Amino acid sequence: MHLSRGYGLNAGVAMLALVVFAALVAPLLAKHGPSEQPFRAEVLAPPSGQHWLGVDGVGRDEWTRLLYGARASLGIALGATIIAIGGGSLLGAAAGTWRGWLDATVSHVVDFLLAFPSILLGLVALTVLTPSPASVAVAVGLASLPTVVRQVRAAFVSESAKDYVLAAKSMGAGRWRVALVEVLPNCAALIVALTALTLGGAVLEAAGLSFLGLTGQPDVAEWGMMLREDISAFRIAPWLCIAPGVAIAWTVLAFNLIGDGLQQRRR
Amino acid sequence: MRAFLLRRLAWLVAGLFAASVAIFLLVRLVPGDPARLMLKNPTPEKIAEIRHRLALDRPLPIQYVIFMQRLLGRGSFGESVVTGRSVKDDLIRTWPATMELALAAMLLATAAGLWLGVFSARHAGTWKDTLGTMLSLVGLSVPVFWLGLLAMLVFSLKLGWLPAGERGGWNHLMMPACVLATIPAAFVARLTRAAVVETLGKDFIRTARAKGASERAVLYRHALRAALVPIVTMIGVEFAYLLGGAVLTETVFAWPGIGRYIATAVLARDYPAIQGALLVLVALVMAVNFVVDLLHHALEPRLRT
Repeated sequence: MHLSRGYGLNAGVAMLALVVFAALVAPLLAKHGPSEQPFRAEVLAPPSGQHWLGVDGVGRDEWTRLLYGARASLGIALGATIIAIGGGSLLGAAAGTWRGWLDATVSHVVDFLLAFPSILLGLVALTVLTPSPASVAVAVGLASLPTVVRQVRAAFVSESAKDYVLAAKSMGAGRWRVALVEVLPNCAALIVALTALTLGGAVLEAAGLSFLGLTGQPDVAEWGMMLREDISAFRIAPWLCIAPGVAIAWTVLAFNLIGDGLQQRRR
Repeated sequence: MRAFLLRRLAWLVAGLFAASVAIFLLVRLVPGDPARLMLKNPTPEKIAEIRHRLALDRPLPIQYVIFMQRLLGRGSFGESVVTGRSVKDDLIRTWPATMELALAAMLLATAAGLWLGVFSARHAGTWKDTLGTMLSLVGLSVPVFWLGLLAMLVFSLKLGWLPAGERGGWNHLMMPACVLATIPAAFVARLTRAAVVETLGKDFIRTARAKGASERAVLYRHALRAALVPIVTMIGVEFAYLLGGAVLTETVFAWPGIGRYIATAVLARDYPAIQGALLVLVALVMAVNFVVDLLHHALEPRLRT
């Protein structure tokens, strides 16, 4: 997509750096531990010099929760992406290299799954798993898997048809060597761009699932979960509902800008 | 066309069968005894009763046959474990709400997305294009449930223009439909821009311009029409985005649709309700994709035999 001269990519990296920084230094900037409730006397207090984003419904500093939320949200997204990119690349590469019945099966299943909204696939996975942040990561990872498989498979198929692969084959390189040494490096750029886009999608998806209450533990500071809890005080303290959403949108946008920028650079 | 129709129909049936098996197996994949998980304070009698009601005490293939017999024979999905109501009745009640919301959002998203995509494409490379592209990228990044909260905050709480949530007249529909439309609209805009930019570079566009066709005619009559094939085929994907968003949007706006129903059911581990709602949604997605494929086949001259 058009965002000229790599500005989008740079902006995305800068935006993401801020979130990663917040996640790393959360304990230093926070006013209390992630699951403590020290401000019970000030429940639903509006933003002030003491509490920059106010106090939530059970006496927790919203700013503190937001910082720890960066850890939880990035952690879940990272776990999901490892599953999606790891498993997806492996399956896609295998299907694209070996073709035959493996390819036919994988492609059909992936086509089938791609027709469904990923949040629905996530919900399905979570009916089987016990609700917890790790389960959400697994569910989101599995739900994002089909997209990765399709893209990596397509890249492997189109690369395998090129002359340099034919050259390698005619020099006697085996399938493994062709796949790993010749084709894979040429698909690496795609996989990196996909990783960024998957991370963004995973933050959004995980926030959605935990907004529905599927992370299980309400004391986990996760942005979607925060919104779920703050919504109950929506009419009295609407400001609480703003910060977690901004954080989600900010992080997802950062990943999308990076992913788009990388994909554009590939062309 | 006929051969294609038959082949596609066979796929649809095979897909529905696979989905029904998957949804049937879902409950059996749950670690531990689903009957025990569904009960707040399980007693042996209650567990036995639920096991019998869900036919969990029979061998797997028999269970599947019973499941399908109930489903196809009586259209029954069983009763909700939580409320005891018939899942079929629940779905019949929630179905129109979801359809109303999804159709309204689909119209909005398609209109807004096409407009924004054409806008970006005709100004390709200028700041207007960057603005349009940025807008659609932001649209893809914002969580819908939060957007819904913000909309309620502004239009219901502060301005008092629109009711916050629940189903009713058009004023109830407006906010959730707009919110639900954002992600699909952004998606449509991105694809439309790409498709139109590509067609604008083709020879027949140069010919049309050389003939003296107005820029408007070039854009809408020539470029957009040629770009229509990829745009129509993405309606299936757009619809999937809509249903996914509907789960969250309906929850935020307390909209009594299937999306909220399934979210509540998953949270309560209400397996008959989950199975019923999933089957309906899956069938819906597959039906939409079936129609889209037929349309694609009819629209694309190269596929005609």
